[in-house]
Amino acid sequence: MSSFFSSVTELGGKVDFIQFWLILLMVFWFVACNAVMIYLMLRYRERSPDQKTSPIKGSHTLEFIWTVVPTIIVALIFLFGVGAWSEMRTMPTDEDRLEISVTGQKWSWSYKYPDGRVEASDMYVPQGKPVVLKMRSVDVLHSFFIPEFRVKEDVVPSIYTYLWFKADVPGSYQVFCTEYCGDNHSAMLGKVHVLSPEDWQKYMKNELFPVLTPVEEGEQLYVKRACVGCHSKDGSPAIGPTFQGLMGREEEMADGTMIVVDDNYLVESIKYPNRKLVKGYPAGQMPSYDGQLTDEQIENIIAFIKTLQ
Amino acid sequence: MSSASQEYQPYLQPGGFKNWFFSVDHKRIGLMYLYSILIFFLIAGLCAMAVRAELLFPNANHQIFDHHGYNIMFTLHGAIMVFLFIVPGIPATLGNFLLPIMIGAKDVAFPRLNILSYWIYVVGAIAVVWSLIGPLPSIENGLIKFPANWLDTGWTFYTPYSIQSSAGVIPVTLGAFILGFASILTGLNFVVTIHKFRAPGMTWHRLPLFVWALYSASLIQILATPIIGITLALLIMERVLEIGFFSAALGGDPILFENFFWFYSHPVVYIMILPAMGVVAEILPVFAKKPIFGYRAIAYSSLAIALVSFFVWGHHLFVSGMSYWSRWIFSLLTFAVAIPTAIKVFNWISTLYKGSIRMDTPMLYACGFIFLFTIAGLTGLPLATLSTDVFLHDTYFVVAHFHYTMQGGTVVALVGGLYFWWPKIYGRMYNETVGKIGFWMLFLGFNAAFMPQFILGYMGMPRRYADYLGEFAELHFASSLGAFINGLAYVVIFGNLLWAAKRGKVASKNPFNSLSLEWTVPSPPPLTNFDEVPTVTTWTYGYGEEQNA
Amino acid sequence: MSANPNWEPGTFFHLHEEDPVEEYENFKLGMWIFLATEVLLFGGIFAGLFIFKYNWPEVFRLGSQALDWKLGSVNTVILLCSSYTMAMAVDGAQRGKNKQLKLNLLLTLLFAFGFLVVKYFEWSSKFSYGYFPGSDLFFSVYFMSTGLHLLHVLIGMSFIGLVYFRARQERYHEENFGGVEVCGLYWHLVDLIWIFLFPLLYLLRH
Repeated sequence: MSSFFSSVTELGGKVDFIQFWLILLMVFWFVACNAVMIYLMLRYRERSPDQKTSPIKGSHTLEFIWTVVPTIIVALIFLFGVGAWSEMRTMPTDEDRLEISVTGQKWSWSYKYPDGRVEASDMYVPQGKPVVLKMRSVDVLHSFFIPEFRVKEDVVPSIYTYLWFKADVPGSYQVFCTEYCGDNHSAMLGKVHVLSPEDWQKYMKNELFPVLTPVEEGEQLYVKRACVGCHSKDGSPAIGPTFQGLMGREEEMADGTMIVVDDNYLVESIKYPNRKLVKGYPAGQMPSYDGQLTDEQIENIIAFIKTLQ
Repeated sequence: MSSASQEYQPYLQPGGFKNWFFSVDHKRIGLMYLYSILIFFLIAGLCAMAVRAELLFPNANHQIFDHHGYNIMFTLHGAIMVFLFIVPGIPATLGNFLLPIMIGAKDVAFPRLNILSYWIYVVGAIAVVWSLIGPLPSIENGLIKFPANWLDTGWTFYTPYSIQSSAGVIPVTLGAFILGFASILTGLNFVVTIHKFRAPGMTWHRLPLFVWALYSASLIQILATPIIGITLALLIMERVLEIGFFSAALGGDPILFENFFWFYSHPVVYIMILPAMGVVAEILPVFAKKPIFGYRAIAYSSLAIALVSFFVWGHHLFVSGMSYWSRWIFSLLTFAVAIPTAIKVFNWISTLYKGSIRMDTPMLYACGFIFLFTIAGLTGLPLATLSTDVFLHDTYFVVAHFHYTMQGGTVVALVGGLYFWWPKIYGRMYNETVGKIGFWMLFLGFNAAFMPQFILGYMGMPRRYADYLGEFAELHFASSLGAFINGLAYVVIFGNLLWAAKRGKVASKNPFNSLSLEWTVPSPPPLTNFDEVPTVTTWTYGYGEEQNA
Repeated sequence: MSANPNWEPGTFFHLHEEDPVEEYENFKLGMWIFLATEVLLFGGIFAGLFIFKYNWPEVFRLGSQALDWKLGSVNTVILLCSSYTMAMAVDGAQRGKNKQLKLNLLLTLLFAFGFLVVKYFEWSSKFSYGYFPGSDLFFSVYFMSTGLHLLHVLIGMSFIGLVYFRARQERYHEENFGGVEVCGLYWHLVDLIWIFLFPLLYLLRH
């Protein structure tokens, strides 16, 4: 990750500027206080048991000074610190802004574009254009954090929250979830890809990436949509049943009935995971992907599962 | 005062479970509290070691727990440290032991409520431990796996995760709820004691600053704890009856839980730190042989901090979707805390001016406290500043910041206070050399553990991560090594104290030439503290006056 | 009451004598502080009530209309009466009239019991209509607040019962009435909380 003072957005640069002065201020006061303390510790160390000490009990002048000076300093920091933040919290209304709906769920991000396309885990945005994220969680609290852009906002199930940025430098940037959300919190990662105008044109025409076969796309989704966190593909036990040999397997449900896994069962389980649970796996672990994946994407995932025999 | 009666019986006698567990003596209760919280300090400390061991290297190279196991470890570390160790921390131990003696009383106002508070603490602790009962941890695929009923919500119990988690949230929240009563009773007892039980002549402005600090902390204990009580009770109801207060399904609000939670849990930070500041204000003048500088400023700034602490909780919600102006106002109010805090630091440092300073172990801790606390306080500034907090929120910067206040502040002061008053508590001296070694191990290990975490925070490393990207590896490794030294330091520190309690050299009544009342009674003090009620005629901090007279 | 000789001085069961006047002062200050914590405890639920009412006025309007304001009013009157008898009990203790004290304590207990009976009918009728905690936010608030209040009524009744038991032992007189007065303080708070709950839940229905 890039170091502290090289944000790739203009606004991030302003944050870094404040950050820089605050660090200087902290270092100054830290050194000032402790240098004085250590000097006094050495200068007035006990040299003889009957060493004279000063009876001084305080000073109103000093108390006044060190009440007023910190008050002025913190007031300045406050005002200084509101500026960039205020800009951060004012969503742009430019005509050419791009609005993306972000959904957080355990433990992946998905992005819905105005033209209906859905991306998982990786978000693609144009260089130099303001991007507004309208975010919502489908389960627990999450928080959307792009360190390089210096922006962060919680993603909450009860309300929409908003975030915006304008990235000036093409490249790929890390996304973290910063609100603890359970087992795979630390794996709830993603990338923001800032595309140059040419690449963005290609992306909009679906020419940026090679065309994938359904199985290949299914495998990508398996990783990107975090199926991999709970369903292994090599038979090893995990939070959910393994995908190896899943298609056609006969499973006992929590209510004791037996079901042979087929396409319909898989579609139902992806959309409504809690309806028919395999025995031994608790309810409520898997979020519903209804609306989170297109029908085509679900088909591709199933195609991928079929290959795991 | 005490006419050196030959037949005085120290409070430590007679022994036996019955005579201790049912004792209403504030000194015994303080000591029982002390050993109880230290047991939990050990357990939670081991959890911290486990956390740092897991984070030595990125997962690809090395793993001890699965992610779920890691989450359980940091949760237990936080929950036990906060609710069972640091909230009772100084008030229930040193506070209980010293407060009545310092103001010339034979006990607290309600001795039976005092022991009741301890019993409630024990019940609460049992409830928390109860959540761990069940299947034992096992090893699967070379990873340690913890049972599903162990708490994994983080000590903050944020909804809706804490409603949905399959872990045993109810016993722990119930435990925290019960512990709240213990805390309230202690606070209530202290306030009434300070108001009504001061010896003749012990006016408010002659009170030791530790008493002022306890008074301020007690006010917070009384006024903030009920809110966490009702919040946790509602969370339990949420899990039992699905009342919908904190879940979106019925139109409730998960953010409301955060507001309620921090309305208690921010002020609680000052329950932890104010008594620590009081301890430091007691130690400094004794070892500098000088009156404390700016007595009234220090005393009133404690009250000011207590007051302001109730209006700053919103800074924990700066990125939670709160409204623009709420964030704006909470940022402004948060800065207000910095002012009384700065005043305290300046006054402490000025106390050293023209003194005659002995750097014995307690004084090392007091000065170490100031050093670490300036870091803790100053790193609060970028977290209160809106622009920079957005970036630093929920990163390792926050982790480092609050460990500097909690461990660098409260725990360092608690240990310093224990070294300072140990000769009074047990009538025996600790080993000075080992005491100093312990301090330096703690000081160096602690800084090595948490300094790198500030940088990690500036690099954007989020907290509560069981795994991390490669670029964070070196700093995490350094932090872990520091943490192990930090942990080891406590073995030396408490080993020295425990050894001293049994075998240390017998201490004189007042080995440090302190002027406050607790040093006028024999060590260890007799059951009723004073043979007759003392009459106070002077200020507590008239140090150096005899030499200068 | 004398101390059990088996217990050492300074243990819980060893009762030490304190000057009743001094003890009374401490006791009263302690109770006032405790009442402050109680107010804050309910403060959490009240905060929830105001926020949810603001967010979902319709839910709260309908919920309020489903409550029986007549039963609520009856309970308000009952509690007000019990506060009066409690005050009379304190008066009796202060003036050393043990008979007045005991009679009024019993009356207070009787009113409190009446409150419980009315509450029983109210709640069971809500249950029979299918209103439970969690039916909607209004009923969650309703059951949580009145439930917590109910718990306080029960604690208050135990407290009054204890004072009555002690009054029968002639423990209270002109110089020692702290226990009764503190019990009275607690009971008045229980009453006061209801005085706030009643209009907020039952009467704001439009």
